[in-house]
Amino acid sequence: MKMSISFRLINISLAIMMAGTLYGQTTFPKIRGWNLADSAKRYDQETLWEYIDGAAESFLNYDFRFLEVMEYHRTSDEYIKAEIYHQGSGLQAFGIYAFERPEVAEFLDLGCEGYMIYSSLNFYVKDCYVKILSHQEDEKTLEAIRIIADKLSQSIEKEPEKPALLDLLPDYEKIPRSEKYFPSNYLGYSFLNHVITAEYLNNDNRYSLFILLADDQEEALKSLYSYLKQTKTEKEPLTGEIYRVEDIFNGLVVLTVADRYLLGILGMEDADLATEFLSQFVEYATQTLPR
Amino acid sequence: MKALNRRSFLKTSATGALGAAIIPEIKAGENVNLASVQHDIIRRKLGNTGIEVPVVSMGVGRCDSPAVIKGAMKLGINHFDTAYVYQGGNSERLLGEVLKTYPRDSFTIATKIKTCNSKDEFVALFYESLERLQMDYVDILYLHGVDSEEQAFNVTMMEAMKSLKEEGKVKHLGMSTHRNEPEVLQAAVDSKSFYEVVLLAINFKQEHYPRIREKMAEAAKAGIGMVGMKVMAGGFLDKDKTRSVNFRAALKYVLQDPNLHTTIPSMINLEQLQDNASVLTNLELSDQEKSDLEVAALDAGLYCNGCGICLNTCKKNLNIPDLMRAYMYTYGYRETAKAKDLIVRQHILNNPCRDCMECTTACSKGFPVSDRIADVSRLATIPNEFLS
Repeated sequence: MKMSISFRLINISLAIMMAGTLYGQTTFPKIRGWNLADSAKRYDQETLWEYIDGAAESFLNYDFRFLEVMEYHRTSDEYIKAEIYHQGSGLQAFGIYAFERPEVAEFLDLGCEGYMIYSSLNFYVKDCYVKILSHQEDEKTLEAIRIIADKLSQSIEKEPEKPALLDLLPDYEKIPRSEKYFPSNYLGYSFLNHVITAEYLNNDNRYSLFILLADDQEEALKSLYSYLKQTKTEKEPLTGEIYRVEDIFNGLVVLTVADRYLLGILGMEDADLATEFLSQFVEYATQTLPR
Repeated sequence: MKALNRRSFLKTSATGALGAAIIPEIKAGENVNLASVQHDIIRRKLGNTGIEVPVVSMGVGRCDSPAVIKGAMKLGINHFDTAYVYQGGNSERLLGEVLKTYPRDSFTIATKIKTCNSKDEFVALFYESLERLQMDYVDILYLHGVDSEEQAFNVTMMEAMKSLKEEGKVKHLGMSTHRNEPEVLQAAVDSKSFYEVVLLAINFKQEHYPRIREKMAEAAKAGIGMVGMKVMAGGFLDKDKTRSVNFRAALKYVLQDPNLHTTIPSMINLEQLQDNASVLTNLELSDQEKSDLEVAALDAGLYCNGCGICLNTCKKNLNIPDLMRAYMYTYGYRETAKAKDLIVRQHILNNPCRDCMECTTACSKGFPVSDRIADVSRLATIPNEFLS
């Protein structure tokens, strides 16, 4: 009988532990000299705005699920906050991370990618966007921030892997850490959704390549059709055809549909060169893109 | 009627059918002559700042497309609202990149910085904002997220803001607030022109909307400029996000109050910009928008659903539903003439509740019935020519 009760207790404990894992309860690391709060505060889709006001909308746009916030205190005034934003997928976590990433910062080999700016350290790993910040900028605080970041990254995913879709953008001429993910409204159009893009540099000409990841060819053509219609480019959208569009808000955009993707280039001044680059991009992409 | 109204709220996309805009459409491939639109834009003076703003400005918190900002400028929306923290600074960077190609006096910029531990920290963050914006000055600097009088009068922050204004890096100072708006508005008035602008949450869902408007009237007299945010109240009427807000009605609703000088709805694509911009030239609520607002008011705590539970519970046998509607007309739509009509029909000349020691009226929505009647019955003595 006693054995049975113990066994039940173990089962219950296991169930609680599993529930913790299932609901993403993170174990925040302990750091010498810093006291952890009793528990992490938690915010969901309804309450996120209470914590970050208007910025909540951006996180929700990247499929925000829930947030955990842990405070570390050295004294009553000196603290470090660790925030883990759990997003819907690795791509969404990358998306919100890149949405906030500055061009210039001290980039770190942390998680999939991270950086430190003043006393704020941000990185993404798996489906989490992690932000660690403090008001103090002394060496000990900065060191503690780095240790917390490293331990959190390890505990979330030991061998971090970037979202595979990012590899679809060619490396040649690519500006490091310029990749972005737009779940919606790419170039300001509501019909250009689910787009990954990166910036490139050809001599002094900065340009972008983009791929709209459609579910099928029909959807890719539909997006192209909407764009051509919006820009008054009176042409029938066809697979393989290359379109040059003078978009008064975005400049010259050259684009085409290949397989189930809409691929394009913008920001290049020379239309012929843009067309040539796009052709190369299509060749690269059709060999690499998942079908 | 309610079913029909509810259906009209079930607009899954505000950009489609509503795109039949009053203004010319923005077409990316053509050079639209927008001179006539710009000429007709309703602009209001932002308190005593000397700035004139379109009634619809642009919140750039979520926007990541240069095209939308360029489109806004084309339409005559030339006031932009950002913050140090938005997009980790990328919101300010985007604005800086796009607006550097426009003359500096063709637009106005407002940014916000949260309360810091020291004056130096606040000033340093501000200079970082300026650098991102690639500008020599900002038109308005808000102390971000002020919830109380105590926060408003934080001496350290006031010193920091004052020094930036004296350096010419900031033209006007203000506060932004998401809660306790009446208290923050009062603090702005009490600051004796230190704070010249208040950015406040205002929308049809707020239960204390009438109190906010009362305070806005006082603030307007003191020359405070007022900017509305969260006008769409989250964009949905319900928690499950199945009933979307009629955004035009929501915008027009708050702009019925002339003391609200502009609004900063978030705009993230060109279609949304175009739809929002349709309000720029016409603030009149259509019948459909009014009826949509009635449903919205149900959620907002202004709408009496006419359940009738109150009818036999008033010692004076007042027609409570009519008086509650009068209250809604007054504070919801600013249709005071219509409200007065409902009041005088009951031969009410002054507060009918004044000699009741205790209100016995039952209300399924929990309205403070006697307070509302006392408030709205004042209309009975106001001559018709003063009513809207």
